[in-house]
Amino acid sequence: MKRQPYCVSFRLSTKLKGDPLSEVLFSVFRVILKSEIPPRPLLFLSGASIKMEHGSLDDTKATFSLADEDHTLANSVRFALNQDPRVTFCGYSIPHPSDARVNIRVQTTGDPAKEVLKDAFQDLMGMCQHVRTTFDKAVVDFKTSEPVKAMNINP
Amino acid sequence: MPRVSARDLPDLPKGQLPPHLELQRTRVLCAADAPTHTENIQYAGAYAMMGVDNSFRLDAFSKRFRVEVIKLTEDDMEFDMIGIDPAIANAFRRILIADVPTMAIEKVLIANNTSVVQDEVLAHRLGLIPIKVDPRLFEYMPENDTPNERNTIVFKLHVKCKKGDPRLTVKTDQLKWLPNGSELLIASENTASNPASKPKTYTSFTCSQDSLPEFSNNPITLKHNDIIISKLGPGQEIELEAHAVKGIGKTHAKWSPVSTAWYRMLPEVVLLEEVENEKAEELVKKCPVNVFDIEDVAKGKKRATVAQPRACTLCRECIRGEDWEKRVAVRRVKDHFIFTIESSGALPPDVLFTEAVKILEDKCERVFAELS
Repeated sequence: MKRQPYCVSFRLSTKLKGDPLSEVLFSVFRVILKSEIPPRPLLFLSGASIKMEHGSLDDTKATFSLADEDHTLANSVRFALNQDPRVTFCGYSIPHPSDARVNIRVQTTGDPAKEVLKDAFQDLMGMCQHVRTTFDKAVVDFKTSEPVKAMNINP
Repeated sequence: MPRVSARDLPDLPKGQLPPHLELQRTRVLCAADAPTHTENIQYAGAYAMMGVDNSFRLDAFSKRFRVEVIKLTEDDMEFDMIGIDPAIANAFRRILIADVPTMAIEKVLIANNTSVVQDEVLAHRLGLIPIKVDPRLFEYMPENDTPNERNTIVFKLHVKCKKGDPRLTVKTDQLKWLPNGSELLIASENTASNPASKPKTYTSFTCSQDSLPEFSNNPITLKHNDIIISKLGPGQEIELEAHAVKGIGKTHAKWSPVSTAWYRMLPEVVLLEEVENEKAEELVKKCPVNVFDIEDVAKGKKRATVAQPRACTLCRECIRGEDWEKRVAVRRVKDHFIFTIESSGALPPDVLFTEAVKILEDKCERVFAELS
């Protein structure tokens, strides 16, 4: 039997016509149903190992394709992007497990996606630097305090 | 978690979440049936309605982030990383396992092998032997290049069990480092015609590795001298040369610098009400890892305390049975990671971690440079 999910949702909403909450929900449904996914030819800029999707009309949405990267970098940058207030959507995918490539999707509230992505990488670099200095300091502190502990002054 | 109507919530000071939301944000609640609130809320505007900014600020991160070293030995390390997101902690773990380079035997030139271990099995076994050398002193070997002193370490293994001798166990201490490179000659046609020319070997070292300042006082050795490579019966012999090159764990696990690296979230055990007398003793008995202890309060009363929350393995034995969930709460702190690194011997674990962080930085740098 063929399923008709859209019919179900329409019937539901016509029944509830007049109810203010349902009206709102209905309009949301309409928006979702009407918004088609625009055709997006995945023509990649050739040359560099990072490729940006070509063909979208504005630069606030873009998919970046990074060669020779995996979850390590993609998930970290997804985290950094998610915490950026300018980002409305971000996510990453690995199109095929035997291709060393990740696609990172960034959609913003208005800023160019490329700049937002660059800022995310900058944030990550800043984080890494701080982690490194903090860690090195903690190790030095531990190494200097360790002989004192080993002496066992207060048994 | 009791449900509270929004109308009954007290007016909040700005920049602070109500306690129940703060708990959900920062803790994984491990109930008897399943853990809840396991996800991390990352979206910057997640708490915008409450006037709480959830976006990333480097200064706020710097203020919160802490590292506490718990244990540091030659090969093992345990430390607490506090105030970091699992995405980043996991990136460090993944890099430690798969992206930090080491040296490992990649090519084995077998001159003679009459042992019961087949050539390819022997080569594989040799590949997994950890070499105690700083990989940062070496370069990656380009493809189709002749090995030189900057990218290859050569070891020799020549053992023979004489006829009439008892069986011989070949261990890693028999592997000898050849600082001058390969000693095996390449057979070529013109050696007879031109005897004056230097015979060609499988490597082209311009100088001896032990003349280099970094190895002169610090010869290249293997991490363990007692790994069994093979056993030889009377009359059997192994003669080979092993060439070690630089590589990463992503290519093959033999290049992984860690036995393993892992993290766990800090367990938090909270007594929601006073657990006294028989109940206290029952609670202490329930826990297989002795998280709880009993303290004596006045008038012969006994009270349970949480003595070692770090030991908790989250087996949830303590909240099994009727009513125990009301008394004890088992949680995990979402941004507190107990990170453990077990080095396989090439570098000390603290150096490995610093290298891992550098590698993540380099990855970001690379992409950043290409984007600009």
